[in-house]
Amino acid sequence: MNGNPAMTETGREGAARLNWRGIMDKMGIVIVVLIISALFAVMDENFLTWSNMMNMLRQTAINAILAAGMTFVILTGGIDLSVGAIVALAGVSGVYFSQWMPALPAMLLGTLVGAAAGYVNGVLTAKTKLPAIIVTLGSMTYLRGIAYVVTGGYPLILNDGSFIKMGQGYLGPVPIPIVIMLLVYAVFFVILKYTVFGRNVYMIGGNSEAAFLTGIRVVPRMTWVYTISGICSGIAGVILSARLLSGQPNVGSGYELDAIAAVVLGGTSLAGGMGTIVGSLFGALFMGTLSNGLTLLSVPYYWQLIIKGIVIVLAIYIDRLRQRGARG
Amino acid sequence: MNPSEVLLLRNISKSFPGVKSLSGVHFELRKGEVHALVGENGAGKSTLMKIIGGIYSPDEGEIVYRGQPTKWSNPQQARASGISIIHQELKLAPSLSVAENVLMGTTLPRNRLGFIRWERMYERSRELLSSIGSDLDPKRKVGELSVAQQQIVEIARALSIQADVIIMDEPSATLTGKEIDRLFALIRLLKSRGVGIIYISHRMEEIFEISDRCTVLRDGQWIRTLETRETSDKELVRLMVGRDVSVLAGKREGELPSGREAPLLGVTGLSDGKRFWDVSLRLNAGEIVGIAGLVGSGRSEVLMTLFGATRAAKGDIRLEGEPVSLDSPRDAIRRGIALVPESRKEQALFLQMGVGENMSVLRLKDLSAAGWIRMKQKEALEQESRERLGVKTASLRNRIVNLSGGNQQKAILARWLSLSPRVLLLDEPTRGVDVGAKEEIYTIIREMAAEGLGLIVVSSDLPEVIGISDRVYVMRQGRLVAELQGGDIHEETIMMHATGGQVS
Amino acid sequence: MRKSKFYAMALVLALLTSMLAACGGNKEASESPSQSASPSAASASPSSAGGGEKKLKTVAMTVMTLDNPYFVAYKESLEEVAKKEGFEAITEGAEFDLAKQQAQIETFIQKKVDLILVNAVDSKGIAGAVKEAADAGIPIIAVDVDADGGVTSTIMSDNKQAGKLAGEYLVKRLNGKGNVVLVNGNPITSVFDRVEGFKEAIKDHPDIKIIEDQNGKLNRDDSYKVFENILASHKEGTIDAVFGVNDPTTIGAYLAAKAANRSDFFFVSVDGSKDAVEFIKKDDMFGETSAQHPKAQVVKAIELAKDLLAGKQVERTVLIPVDSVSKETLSSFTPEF
Repeated sequence: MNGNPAMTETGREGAARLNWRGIMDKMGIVIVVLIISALFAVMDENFLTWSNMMNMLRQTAINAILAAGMTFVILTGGIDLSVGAIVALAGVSGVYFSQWMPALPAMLLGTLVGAAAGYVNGVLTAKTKLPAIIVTLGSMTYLRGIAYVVTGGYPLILNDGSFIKMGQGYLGPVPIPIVIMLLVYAVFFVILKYTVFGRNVYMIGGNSEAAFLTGIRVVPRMTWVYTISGICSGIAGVILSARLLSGQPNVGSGYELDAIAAVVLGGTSLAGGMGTIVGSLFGALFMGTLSNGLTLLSVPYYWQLIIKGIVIVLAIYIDRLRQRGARG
Repeated sequence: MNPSEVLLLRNISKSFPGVKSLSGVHFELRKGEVHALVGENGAGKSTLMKIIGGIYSPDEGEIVYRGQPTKWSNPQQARASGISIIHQELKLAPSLSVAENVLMGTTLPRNRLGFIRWERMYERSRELLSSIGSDLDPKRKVGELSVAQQQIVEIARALSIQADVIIMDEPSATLTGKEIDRLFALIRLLKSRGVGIIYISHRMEEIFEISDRCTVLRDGQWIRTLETRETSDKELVRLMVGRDVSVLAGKREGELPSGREAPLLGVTGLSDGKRFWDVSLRLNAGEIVGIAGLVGSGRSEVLMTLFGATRAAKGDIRLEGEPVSLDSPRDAIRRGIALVPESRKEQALFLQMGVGENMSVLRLKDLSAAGWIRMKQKEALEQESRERLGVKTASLRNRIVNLSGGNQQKAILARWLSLSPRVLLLDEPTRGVDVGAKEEIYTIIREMAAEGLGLIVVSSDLPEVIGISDRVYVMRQGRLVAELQGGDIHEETIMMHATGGQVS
Repeated sequence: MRKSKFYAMALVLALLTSMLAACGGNKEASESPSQSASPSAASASPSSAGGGEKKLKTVAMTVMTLDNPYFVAYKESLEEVAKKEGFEAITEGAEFDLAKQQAQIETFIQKKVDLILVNAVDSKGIAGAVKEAADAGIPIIAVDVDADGGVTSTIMSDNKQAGKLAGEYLVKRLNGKGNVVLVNGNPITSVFDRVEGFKEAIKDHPDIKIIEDQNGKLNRDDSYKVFENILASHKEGTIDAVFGVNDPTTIGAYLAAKAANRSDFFFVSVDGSKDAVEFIKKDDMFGETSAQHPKAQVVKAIELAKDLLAGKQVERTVLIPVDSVSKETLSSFTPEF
């Protein structure tokens, strides 16, 4: 008696929702993004146009790229507060190098500066076993300081045309920052899913002691994880400086919180070991869509802050509900 | 209703989507009774416990408490009306004092300004503690206490809310022999005061020592309630698993390997400098060696050092006569030494990952080219591991957290066997594993030995050590104090050496 | 069961978003009653008409921050003009984040507004966004500070004059002799100009020396801290006057001096805010502030925009004069913010 209705229910749902459910259960944020997009599309005709979509995605690219690196860090159970400062330092460095060399090596060097900053974070976190929040709080401060020292506090003006393309150019109809964002996500998706390193990231975050006892080399892995976050911040910094036509030492403060919010919105657990990279992309899209849509709707600025705050908390709450539901 | 009954559950049913449920369960608890609740893992014991504790509410059926039909909508209500649960993992705040932990659920003594009256708090908790024969200092931090002492704090806390019913979930799992005796004395004291106790345990000898009645659950069904003194361990186990099994691991047939050549693993004068000193032992290929001793005697630490997880301060480790230095688990693994650690959840499982991935983790490197995992080969290995060890799961992708303890343990064994190790170190291999799976694990251990592996088994479960080992070392306070063989391996001698006491 | 709860929550979220959005929109609408009821309706009829008959329908502005009353005055002024002239006004705060300001301008472009007013976080860094607007054919006018990238026009206070007026008051009150502390600000043109004007005013008085030049970051908090440190290193009697580059900076320093029981010097400032005027009224120590007129800037900007729509040429730079406000001139002055 008891088993019968349950059986038919699972039977009915099972067939229709097999794939659908698999995706949705992993990423409730996708639904939320679709809902608010639909809402904005109905409320404002300028929202769902190609040029606005490209505009919105280009604005999202910086946060999305930061969130991609942050996903690795949070998957290991860590946190990286220094990404905003690395954005500034890498941007400033890229612009600085562009005074002496062609755009490509200058951009690579800028990114490399980000990687180096991340590497130092990783070594300090993994070797000293200090909490990541402390290590990166420190680097957030001293990296910002270095950015000010390098520039003397003034923005460095970017004059290199091909460098500027990085932020303002197009590949076909698609702005280059969006192309880079998608590339980063594609590469990271494959790394997390199909490489030993990627799986080790989940294992270290899920249970670092078990990882140690199964012979996973935790210290070098962690160092890489923070280096990856540094590389992402470096890429973001270079793109941002190209967008802003200058290396700004004071840019990017608060970006770390946006990136963390995107990752958490994307369903990655702050405790580590659980989450997906695609979720982070949608987390960033959610935040970008919200900012873009609210401005398009002419919602007064102060109200935008209220709405954003409430909606972010609600979105995470909904996601938790869904996850609990999925677990039974 | 019988007036001596404090709690009565009638026809309780509870179902969860996809999780085993209870159907039509009866349970009654009298005042001053110790009522054992037995069954394999997944039989529904913890669901029943959570229903009594107000954590779940039943779909069907009736709860009668102190003669009144009752419905608890949350655990706080159940607690307030005198139901206390002592969980297997103790729910204490380690950084707070004993007094605070004891009085946590009560209204703390305060002065007129609403500030805590600390003296009064210490006084009251001291009274409660001494009423159960404990002289623990209420000012001490709980985190500094041993597990047994922490349990006393939990029990005192139960008394602080004047519990009529105390549910104890495997209270002895982490206790030593002496501590268990103290716990039983305490349970008898509570009994004499009319407290009804529901005692959940896997250990037969405890059930027979302490309980008045037993209720057996199987697959969410109520099987039978019996008077303990009218039954036997054989009968209980038969009711639990629904078939006949031998409770104790039987002796292995055939010749013991002799120690004429260099042993597979030879250890001389090994110390970690903190928890054990001057340990010398040897392990031959195809041999199962037990290490017995009280909890905290240094057994697990020896295994951790042999696995390279903690550095040796002194001593010499040889594999087949060749000296090796083991600075990390990686070194050990490379040399074919494997460890199934003491705590599955904390030290072995990647709880949120798939069953398959938990088994193939050690081989990821071999199954990949330039860091890229060959998914087909990985899945083939996982499939093979699952079949070889009989891990029961619907899919290899299912999260391992949803498996029973026995299946989790088999998956961990599969993980290590995928490496074809030469030495397998097992720390509490059957802790939290139900009777049926225990038997399977013993079989696997024996097969491994037969294939020529050397195995070291650390266990607090004496019948297990005795049943499975060819030789037994006994540790006491960080030192190896005895090596027992053949007929010398029995409980009394082991306990004598482990406790430093005399054979009675 | 869980599932349905989840969908219910998602629905609640959706409703809430739209409700809040609508609510915000209505607030806007009620402030400008001459305009159609909902903002989406307003933007639903994009201005596609040709140049000659074009009217201002939507004006969007981004200011560097909305947590300083000075910039809030821009917002209020724009709203007042919008009400009078019947167009829709949007104001965003960039929180000193250049990237954010760029995104705001880009979204204005997507929204196809008729005029963009930009108060740049960074005059040079904003050039890219300004160019985008110019390329999209939307007139973009810089207010308060100049902006690169091809703005149609820049309207700002005569900052040099502001610094000069403050300097002249200081020279007079010091009788041409004394040690001066300069609480400077972030490197933006308006700050440069004020400092330049100030230095010009004291140039001919070699006995007036600038003994400290520190960045108070244009806000009360940072200026307070910076000035505490300055006080610690300059004993009583060694400072004669202080020039803060805007009112929040000067007030921060003034409060730090009060807290340290120091009254051996006086302050001059730029802005003309309500707070500063109150202090001038009460206390001799707060000597002067050169009052800016943000509201006049916005009014001028809208005038220019209308001229543009009518096909007229407009000036590249418009300077709005400032007034020196001190005890003597207080009675004839009403602060705008």
